[in-house]
Amino acid sequence: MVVITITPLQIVVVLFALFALSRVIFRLKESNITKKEAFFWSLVWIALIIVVFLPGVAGFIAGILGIGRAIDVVVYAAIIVLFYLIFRIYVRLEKIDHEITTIVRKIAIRKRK
Amino acid sequence: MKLSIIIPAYNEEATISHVLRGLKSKGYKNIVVVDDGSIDKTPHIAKKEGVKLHSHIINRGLGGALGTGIEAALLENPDIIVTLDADGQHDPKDIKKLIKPIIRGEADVVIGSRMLNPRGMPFSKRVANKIGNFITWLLFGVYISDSQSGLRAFSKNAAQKINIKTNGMEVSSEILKEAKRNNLKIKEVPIKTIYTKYSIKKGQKWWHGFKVLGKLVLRKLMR
Repeated sequence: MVVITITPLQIVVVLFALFALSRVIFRLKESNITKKEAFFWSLVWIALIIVVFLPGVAGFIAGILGIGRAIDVVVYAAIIVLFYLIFRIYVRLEKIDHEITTIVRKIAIRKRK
Repeated sequence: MKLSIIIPAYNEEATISHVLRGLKSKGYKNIVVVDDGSIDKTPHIAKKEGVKLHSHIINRGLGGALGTGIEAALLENPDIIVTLDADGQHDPKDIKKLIKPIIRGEADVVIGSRMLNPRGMPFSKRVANKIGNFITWLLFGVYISDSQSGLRAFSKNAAQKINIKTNGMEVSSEILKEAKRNNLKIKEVPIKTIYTKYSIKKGQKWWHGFKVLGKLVLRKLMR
């Protein structure tokens, strides 16, 4: 029989992940985000819950990838996800920036002084 | 031969009227000023000088202003479009030299280079300029002795083909990239630069180059 001891940290992290997950579902219902985005974020939060309760999972992945410590897998994954998100935000910002210019330009050309 | 002169201007009340009068005294009448959301008297002064004024309701940067200028100028079907800085660093006499290769059919895009005769250019600016040229060459494969020059001439055909997407100072490199993409002939002619305390102060700071570099590299990665 496996005895799982739950630390306060685990409870806090899981509560946070569940809260985040509920926000994802809520935002999907309000159609503020696309299904694809909701899927991505659900995956992130569910993965977090799994890793918190079953640290063995991270250890298992660490073994496959040849990374020494289980915690390192989590940290590396988090960094990769963060970089990816920053890049997406950057692309998005560039697009919005360009769209603003298009609007400003249209107005400027229409109104010659 | 119909010529259209575009002047992007952002808070240039100190110099704009001098620049516009200089152009008019040389007989250039078809002037388009793009006021890039200035918060000073720039649009007011430009209007008083009787130019075609297009105002951005908010500041968008050099690329945004040049794009608007070219689009506005093209509406009147000019043969040649010239861009010129509003800070007074360019000599209106150079316009003749600049458009000659286009009239002769030797080039589609002409860049007025300050570096073919760099006397009077501060050392730090010369170094920054060289770095800008190198990066433009590295990313887009176009080597120009003054890739960041604001004095340029385009044939109508070139102006129609060049698609400006960037908003900021990186537009200078983007124009060269676009010229190359469309197989346009690029030529450089030496120009005189009038360096005053004002134009040096208004000019690009050296660290500005890093921002431009970052944007250009990211743009390259995204495409």
